[in-house]
Amino acid sequence: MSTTSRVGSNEVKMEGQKRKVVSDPTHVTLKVKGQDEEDFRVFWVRRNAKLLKMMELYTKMRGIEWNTFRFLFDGSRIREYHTPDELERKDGDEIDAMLCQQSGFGPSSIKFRV
Amino acid sequence: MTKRKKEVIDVDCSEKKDFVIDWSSAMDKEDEVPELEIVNTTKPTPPPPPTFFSDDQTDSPKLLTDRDLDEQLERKKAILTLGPGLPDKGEKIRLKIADLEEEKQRRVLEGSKMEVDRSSKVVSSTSSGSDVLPQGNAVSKDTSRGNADSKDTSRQGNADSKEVSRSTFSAVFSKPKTDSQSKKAFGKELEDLGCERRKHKAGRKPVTRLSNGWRLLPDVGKAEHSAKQFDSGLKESKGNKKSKEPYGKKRPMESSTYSLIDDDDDDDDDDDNDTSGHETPREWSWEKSPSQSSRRRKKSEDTVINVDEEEAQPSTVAEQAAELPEGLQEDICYPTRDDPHFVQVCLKDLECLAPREYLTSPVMNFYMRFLQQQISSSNQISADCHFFNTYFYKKLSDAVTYKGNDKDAFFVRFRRWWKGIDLFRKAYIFIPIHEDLHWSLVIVCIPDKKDESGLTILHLDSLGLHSRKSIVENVKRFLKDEWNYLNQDDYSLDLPISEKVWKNLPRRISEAVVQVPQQKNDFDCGPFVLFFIKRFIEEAPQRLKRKDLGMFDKKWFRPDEASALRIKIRNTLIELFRVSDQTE
Repeated sequence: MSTTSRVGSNEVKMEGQKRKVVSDPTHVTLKVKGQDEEDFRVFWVRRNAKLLKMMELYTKMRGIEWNTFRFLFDGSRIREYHTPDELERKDGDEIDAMLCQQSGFGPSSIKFRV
Repeated sequence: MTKRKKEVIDVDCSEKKDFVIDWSSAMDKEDEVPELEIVNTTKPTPPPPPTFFSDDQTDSPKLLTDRDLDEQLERKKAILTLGPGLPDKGEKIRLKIADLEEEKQRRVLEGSKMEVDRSSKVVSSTSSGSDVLPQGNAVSKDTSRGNADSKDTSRQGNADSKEVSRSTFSAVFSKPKTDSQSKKAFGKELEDLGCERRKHKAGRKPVTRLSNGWRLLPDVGKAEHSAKQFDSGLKESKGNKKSKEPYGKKRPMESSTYSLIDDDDDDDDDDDNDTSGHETPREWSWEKSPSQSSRRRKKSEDTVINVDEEEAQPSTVAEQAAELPEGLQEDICYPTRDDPHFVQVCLKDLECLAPREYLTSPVMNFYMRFLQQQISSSNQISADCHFFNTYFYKKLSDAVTYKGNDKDAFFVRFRRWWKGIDLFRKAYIFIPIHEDLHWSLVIVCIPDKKDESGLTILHLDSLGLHSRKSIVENVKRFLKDEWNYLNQDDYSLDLPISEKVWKNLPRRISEAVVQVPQQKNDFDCGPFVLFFIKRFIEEAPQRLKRKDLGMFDKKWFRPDEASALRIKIRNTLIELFRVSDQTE
């Protein structure tokens, strides 16, 4: 149910949504929800790890280039070089993965890989 | 300018006889009965001695140009050589030559030159729509009577004929004729009035082509214009072969007449093929109907009106698009990377600022942030505005339509989007809407403490594509939810708005339906939304009151101003990319 991706010292772990999240001093759980999705995808991320890996993993799961999405927390943009500690993220914080909006273009025109 | 009422005189008639035209059957009952008027500013010249003209020479020598006069003289002298063979031994020709030479001498003495081209004269119209002869063509009352009394020698032999000849003009109305006969009759009448039509290619006036694809119609004399109207009724149009009803019956009550010009360049000189009506006209020329004006007006240059345009717009000098330099960095963060509400714009995002492209959210968010930064400090409105980004409305609609048990908790999480901002203390809240592949704008106007008019929601849509009802309803519910949340605390101690309004806020939120300029295409909704914000910030008062809603109008600004915003944004971004490149 869970997948783990290791690159150097950075570790990103995706948990099943219903699985109970245990608070960890070194890790934080972040919930990512796409604007066209009903449910969140929960990621277990190291506090000092750059969010780039989480973004790449999420977009890979969606089958879209990672820079297609705009990741927002409380309406403010999150950059790939930010860390949860820098942003003062807590367990269970929600991140919105917004697709680039365009007139004459929309989410319905993107074919997602299932 | 003196005007004399003249009766229609038939010069061919052997005995003087009044002819009454039944105007009610000939024309619409609503139209005034046209009267033939002869205008002459100078004193009438004494009538010359009666002269006998042949059938083809009913014109007075005074109406001829110098060149025509010389030609007539030469022709008559040539005919005179056949004198013995003529019935009257050439006596009539000699009289005519004498008449012409006398006229020539008179002109030499007076030194008055007539216009070279008689056909270029325009027959002006009076208030009744009747034809008025130009000064040069004016014939005094006495002169015309003199000509009328003279008898045609060729007709003297037919004295026993009882049939009274009628004028060609009256004949058009009195007895049915074929198409070609009617047309010839009208043309003949125009010749009698001294303004015969000159034939151009395909019997039409030349048309000037304009650079924008529209074509300028030449000046059409009123008599010629009426001839076209007359002809169009007698001929069948290409579009409707069955139509045989005269033009006069079909003419609408409007006081404007329309001329249609087709694009085909056929070289057919036959008038019968030259139709006036077309199934799908591409150009329209509009000119005042002769029956509309109550006095003579100077004929202004014909203006070509684009039927797609609501009004003629003065052209604006567009800003030139700057060249995109090479070697720029991939993206910039505006205003700075350290700003918590920075906006990131990639080099690739500049592509959407090209003509006919659709604006994307990064550019929309950038320019809104840019406007926030650029608002001058002198304008106090800057501190009283809150701008939500383009993604906010999606979250708002999710929040107000949330059906879960933890609705309150959901709204509390949603409130973090405007963390630390007291929305009800703002004067204006801007919410860009992105739905159904289209951009529009909502402005929430909040009154000050003194004003008890309540909150006003404005929805500005340049295409009218978005459902105003559902958008306004969502924003209302959002404001009510925020009011409910704030009412739980001791917020009422220091109210931002009138206490009376605050207590009944859910019922004091109203929508004002406003008209705004509309885009003329399907790709400028983004620039229009940004221009709405820009223009509103520049013109809006500190707090909007009901009376201030008059600023919104279909003519609030010209559509091309909003469209030109693309180039301004592009140039601004290129400059920021350059500066960012130099600093790093």
